[in-house]
Amino acid sequence: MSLQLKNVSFYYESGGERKQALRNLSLEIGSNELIGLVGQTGSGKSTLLQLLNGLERPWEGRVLLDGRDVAAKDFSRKELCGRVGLVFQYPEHQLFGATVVEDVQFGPRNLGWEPLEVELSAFQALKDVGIGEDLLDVSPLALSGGQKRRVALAGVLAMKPEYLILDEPMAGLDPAGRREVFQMLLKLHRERNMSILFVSHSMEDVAEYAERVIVMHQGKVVLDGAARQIFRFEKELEQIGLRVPQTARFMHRLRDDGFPLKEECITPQEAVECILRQRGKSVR
Amino acid sequence: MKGLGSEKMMGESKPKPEKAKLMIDARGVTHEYSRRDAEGNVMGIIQAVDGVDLQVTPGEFVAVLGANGSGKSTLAKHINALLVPTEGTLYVDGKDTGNQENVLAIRQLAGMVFQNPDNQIVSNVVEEDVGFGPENIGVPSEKILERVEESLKSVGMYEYRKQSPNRLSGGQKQRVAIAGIMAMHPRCIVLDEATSMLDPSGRKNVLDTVRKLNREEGITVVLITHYMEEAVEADRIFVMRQGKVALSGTPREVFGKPEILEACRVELPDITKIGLGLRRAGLDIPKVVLTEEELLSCVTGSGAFPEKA
Amino acid sequence: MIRDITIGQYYSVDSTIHRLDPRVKILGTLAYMISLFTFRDFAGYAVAVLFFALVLALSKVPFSYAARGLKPIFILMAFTAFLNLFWTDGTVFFRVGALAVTWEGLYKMIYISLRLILLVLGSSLMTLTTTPNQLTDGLERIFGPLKVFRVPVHEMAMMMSIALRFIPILIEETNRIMKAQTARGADFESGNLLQRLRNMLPLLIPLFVSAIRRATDLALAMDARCYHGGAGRTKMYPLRYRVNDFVAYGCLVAYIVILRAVVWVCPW
Repeated sequence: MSLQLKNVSFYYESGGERKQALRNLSLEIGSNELIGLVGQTGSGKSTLLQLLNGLERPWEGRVLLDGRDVAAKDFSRKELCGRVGLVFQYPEHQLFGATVVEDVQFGPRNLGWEPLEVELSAFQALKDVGIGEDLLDVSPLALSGGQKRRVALAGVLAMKPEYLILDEPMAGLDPAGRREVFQMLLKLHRERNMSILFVSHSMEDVAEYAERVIVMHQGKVVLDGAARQIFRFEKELEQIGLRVPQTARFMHRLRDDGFPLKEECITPQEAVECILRQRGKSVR
Repeated sequence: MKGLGSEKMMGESKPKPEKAKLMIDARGVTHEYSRRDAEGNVMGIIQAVDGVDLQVTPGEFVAVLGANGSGKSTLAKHINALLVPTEGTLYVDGKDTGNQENVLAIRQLAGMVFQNPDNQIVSNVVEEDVGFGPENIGVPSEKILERVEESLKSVGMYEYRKQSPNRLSGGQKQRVAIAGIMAMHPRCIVLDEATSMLDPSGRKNVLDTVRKLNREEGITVVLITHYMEEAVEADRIFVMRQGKVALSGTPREVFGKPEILEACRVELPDITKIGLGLRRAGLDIPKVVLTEEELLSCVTGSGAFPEKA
Repeated sequence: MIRDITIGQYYSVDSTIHRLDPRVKILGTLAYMISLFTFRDFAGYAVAVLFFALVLALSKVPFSYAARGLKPIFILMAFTAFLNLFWTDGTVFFRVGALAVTWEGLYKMIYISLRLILLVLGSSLMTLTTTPNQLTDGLERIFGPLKVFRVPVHEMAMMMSIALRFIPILIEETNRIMKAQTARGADFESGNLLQRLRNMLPLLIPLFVSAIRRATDLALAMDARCYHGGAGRTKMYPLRYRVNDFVAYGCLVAYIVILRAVVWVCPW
């Protein structure tokens, strides 16, 4: 079970010029992963997401789902977009249904499911994102910003994807709203074994929630590994215009001052525990 | 100081001296609007801003924090006279925003940068967009050119003056928007979540620009934001909750009240969180730690280090 | 397909033509276009082509670039040419099955095609050498006198300029929404006309909502920047005629005089 990119290159044309967005990139997303994808604007993240969902086709290389080439004749586009759900940035801007339910049913209906199945999955998805039954028949445009975002997410979840790919799912939300969206994603990841890949500009969020981190730069994957390992590379990340979480940076400076930092701390909680543990030892 | 009541009774014709000293002076500002259902019947009245008192002195850098829907954007629109209080009064540089005659003068004095970079640029050419404000207030042509040049330089976008805004990044567009305000020679800039749609480097550039204008040109800044790290360097912070100012003071005072902040759905900066965690575990650390340097020296001095030679 | 829309394409280069007052270019283009309808003689076309070539050379816009404007109307041109070629009465000189080509038809096809080509080239040369803002400024000034009759000239010019600014943004937005709905399994390409129209709703509704949101935002931002209509407004670059502009008007008159003279002297 995996979603794979093999030696993928991609170009786009603008103003008569051809620019390379992805350079011979290979990547594997296993089942039940929780991945944070980071990189500066223009590093090729968006292109990568669109390739995974089949919105764009690689110029060179292949995209494989469970080992099958998604470009093959017997692989329908619908199967791909059903199994690999893609949530765009500000997904609430794509809401159009007369009611919340109708909007959420759009995806599964496009996949040609039975009406009963469509209904059930839409209800389940709305429940998963925490939209109460009182809002089902309301126009999505009448909802608050955070509610709209969740309905839009439900619209993709209703297609029951095995892989959920999100482009900055927290953009524009306040801190509490961000946390709610993430808690929801974590729940889906744990309870449904959904493999999730999200793009984020906030290293703090990535440190807090992602198990694996992929760093992109100029169309290539430059770092890929456990979050704790990735944030060791403070200098390297800075060179490509990224930073490490505030906590990690602080702990690095502490270490440079002589503090015996054994493991990498990337969240405030970890930092507190680490310092206390060290203190317990040295005080004794 | 006289009571608020008598102040209001005196009317706009005689501005009190202490009023003129303040850049922004909100007194019991309330803004209500009614929610209507599909048929247009009033379903309820919402008090987006509810009796806010807020004073900002010239040259101050003020941050306004609060969850979505806490009323901070509604409040911001009052400073620019885009909205007028339904109750209470708001003075900008001593001018009552409720007086229709003051509106243009206030909008020229207190510029506003909005959230979406694309939706506030009027023109197809950067320099012409910057010239839009001065054109509106009738600045003579030669003067407009001067102002456009100087304000584009002050935000570091001069070399893009002939370009189309469509080719700029989000952060660059916001800097153009700031230049458009600076060209009107304002005394105050209100940024209404102006960094929330930007990537980290864009955010940093916009903030550096605003800080520079604040420091070097004495522009009063009202920064409305979700990002705590942006607020840490402010002179004062106002935290809003359900239309009211729930908490105000210096960053050190405000971040020293984590319980109230939590109720306002506002988070502490990570550095402050670490400091607080250590303090709660009994380490000798001040109540509020705001910067890396501070925390570093606190931890170094707290005995967490192995003995050094 | 939607990416190919090119409105207000400006070719950025410094030239005599670019520096002309937009009013000269607007009125000049108008006069040139009208002039094309006043004759059917090849001698006249020779003059018109020559004049266009001269202006093009002065503008420093490469011919290949200017000719791009012809692409979208190619089908229209081919169609009219075809109609004129086969459906004009007169002396038959060539026959393909049931279709007869007449001398008159051939003649008509050539001059109508030429006229169409020059019309398009002439007008695209104007947009290529004039920024959208100059264009709206020029139009505002030309139609300025209509303000007396309460025609909202300033407002219309402002609307046009804003529309030009937001067209590329909305095109980009269309692409984005289309992609997002495609990711939800939407199909914009198959089905009959009615189905296709219905399938467009998930695209059109969000686009409409977004356009309204942007309009509201922009109106607020303009208010915040002291916009209050055309009254008391100054211009950063006020339009002022210079020597070159009068020379250009002179050239235009000369062109029309020469054109009339040539058409009058050479009756073919």
